[in-house]
Amino acid sequence: MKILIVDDSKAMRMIVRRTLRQAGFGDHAVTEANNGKEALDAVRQSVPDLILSDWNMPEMSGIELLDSLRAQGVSVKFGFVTTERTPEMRARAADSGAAFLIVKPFTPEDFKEALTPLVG
Amino acid sequence: MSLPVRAEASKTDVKLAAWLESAADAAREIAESALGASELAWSGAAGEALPGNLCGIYIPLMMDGAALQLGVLATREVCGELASALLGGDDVQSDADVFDAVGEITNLIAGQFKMLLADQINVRVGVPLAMKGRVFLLGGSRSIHGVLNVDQRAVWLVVTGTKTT
Repeated sequence: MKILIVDDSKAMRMIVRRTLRQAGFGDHAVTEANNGKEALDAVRQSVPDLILSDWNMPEMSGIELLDSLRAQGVSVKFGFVTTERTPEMRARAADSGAAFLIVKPFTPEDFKEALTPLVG
Repeated sequence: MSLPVRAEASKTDVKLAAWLESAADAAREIAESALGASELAWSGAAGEALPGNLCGIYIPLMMDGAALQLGVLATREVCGELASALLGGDDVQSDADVFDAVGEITNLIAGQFKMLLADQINVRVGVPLAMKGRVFLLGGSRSIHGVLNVDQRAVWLVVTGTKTT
């Protein structure tokens, strides 16, 4: 399975990678993008099986990325990893087709709970 | 004529003090959960000027009626230690990597701050900015700060505010 991590912070991409390993998803192929626009370009090259995306990013936000993917008919599994956690944001994410929203800071257990139904 | 102006300034100061306390609450939670800190001590609002040798991150917090900047500042050495703590002990050397990590810590604090105030006011978080040295206030901005000791490492929390309405 191919997982694409999208976050403008190199530190956070490293932490997400590490947490994926700690949660038992270390055998999946992981790639990274710096923002929504880079992620969109990466998806055009090769569609991953799952996208883990930050919400607030320069160039293109996570929600703009998700809306853009869905508008182009790309039905890749998509989850947010973000500090945004208000009910309005959660509803917005769900309405756009996000499968889950993991709140930063997170634990490996948060990843297991969110990803296991999708990744197995 | 000056009385209403004084009253308004005082009201702004009270709000800044309350926001600083909320920022400290948010920072304590993030220090424990994301940095694994076990010993935390908050000074409350401090009277003395900010030291001139600090660096760190300012992040905009926008809300109805006010625009804030939340600063998370420390010496360069402590910024490196905070970055390392966020990354689970990995050594972090370059300014770019240190500021990237401290920016993420500040983003986490801003998110927690937003959550703590969610039932009172809608806060929108902007894009962070890294700084080294002094920041000077312009255009009627007011600023307040205090020191959070994170496992005996001094971290200055700064709230700078401007009324927008």
